[in-house]
Amino acid sequence: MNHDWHDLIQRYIAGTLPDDEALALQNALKSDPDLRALYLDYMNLDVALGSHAESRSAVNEILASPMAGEATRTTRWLSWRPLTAAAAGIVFGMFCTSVVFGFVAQRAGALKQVPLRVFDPGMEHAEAIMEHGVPDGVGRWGADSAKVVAAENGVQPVEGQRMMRLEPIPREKNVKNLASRVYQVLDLRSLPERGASSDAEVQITGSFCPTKSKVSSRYLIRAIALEEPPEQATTEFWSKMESDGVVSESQRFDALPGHPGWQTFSLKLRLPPESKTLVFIFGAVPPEDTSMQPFVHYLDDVRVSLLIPETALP
Amino acid sequence: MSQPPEYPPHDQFLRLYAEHEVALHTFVRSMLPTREEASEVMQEVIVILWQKFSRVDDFRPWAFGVARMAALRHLERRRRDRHVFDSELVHQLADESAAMSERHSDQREALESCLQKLPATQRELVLTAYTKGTRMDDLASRRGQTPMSLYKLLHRIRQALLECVRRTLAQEQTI
Repeated sequence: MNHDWHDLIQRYIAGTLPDDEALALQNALKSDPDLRALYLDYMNLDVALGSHAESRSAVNEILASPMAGEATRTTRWLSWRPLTAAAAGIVFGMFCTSVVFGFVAQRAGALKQVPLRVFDPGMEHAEAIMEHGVPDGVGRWGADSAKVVAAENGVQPVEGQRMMRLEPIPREKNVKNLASRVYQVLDLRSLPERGASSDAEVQITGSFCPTKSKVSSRYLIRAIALEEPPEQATTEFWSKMESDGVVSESQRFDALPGHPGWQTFSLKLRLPPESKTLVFIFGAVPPEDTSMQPFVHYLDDVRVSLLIPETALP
Repeated sequence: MSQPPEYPPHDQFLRLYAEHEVALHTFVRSMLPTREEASEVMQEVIVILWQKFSRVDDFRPWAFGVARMAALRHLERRRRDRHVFDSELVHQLADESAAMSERHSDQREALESCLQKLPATQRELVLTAYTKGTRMDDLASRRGQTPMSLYKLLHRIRQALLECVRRTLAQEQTI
């Protein structure tokens, strides 16, 4: 077997193989059973290394945790899967696909959690301060298609009297993204607690509720940190996504059918020390099945926290 | 006479899913070009399995069938953007991957010792590269390398690991 196939297969796995070479690989795979076995062994290795890395991360988190009951002020929210998998030493959860079932567990940890001030996290006053799309600055919500409402459709706000109603964007509308999103911008320049830590993470949490609980719902949370201050960062915002000085993380969450009511999801983003602006986005994704009509979802109780290792604090 | 324990449906599902998750993930991965896409499709697969789970006895073939269809749907969408393997080859790879479950399970066990045989710096590097959220350009920058040289180093490490795994299994078969 030609030794270069190793390189070709790995570049295909990494997504860096040009189309003409991918076609050559395809033709060779069709006719060569040994090459197919090699390809499948590489795929198995790829999954297994991901599993090893994930379980190592989970074990490290547990080892970093102080004894239960200690430092109750230093808590963090974790998805249950990697934690339980590592604790039990079992395979389940190690090939974590980032599906989160809406179960979360709180535990003591070696991180200090510093709540950040979010504009109107309970949507009690946002109605008058809502822009279309990403807002130009801090202190307001932006939305594609949303409005603040009181209890309706049998859904009560998580807290207070109001919540954000995420209205579906009609499929007929010729837009690139049919997810109904809301946005907010935070100024990170004056965070007293951040100190000199290069390991700080920011955690974005929100609660979603669908109006139809018999089908699954998909939500997204995205966080974007930029080196520019808010007034510059929000100018031609979307064109900056691939730029140096911009880091982002996004995750989709599936709320399983048969679980009516609010479900809480979180996303974490490692925050480069030089970040000056954080933009966070919550969205409801329309059903993939185009025969299904998109439906209304609600968002409430938004929280943003800075997670700082205790060792990094003065 | 004591009856075998009757688990609630959710427990049954979790037990079966835990038993087959690794093989299912490898199966999906064999059909798709990138790890991220495999994770994305696995999300869809687990939701469908959860929604439609009703029987225990035929879980594995049913779950693999669901996974195959989900991966094919994903590839159809992906085909508009870039070259992906054609359906004939994808089915061929899926069939052979399903048939190689035991071999791949043995390889995953052998990987444990092969990772330990790697120099510590290489082991750390490859596991860091596979840690969720790691960006190759960031990792390369932290190491003072270009992304291309990092990719090449990772290729060499993966190749060494695969050769070690294959060699280990071949030796076990001759004992």
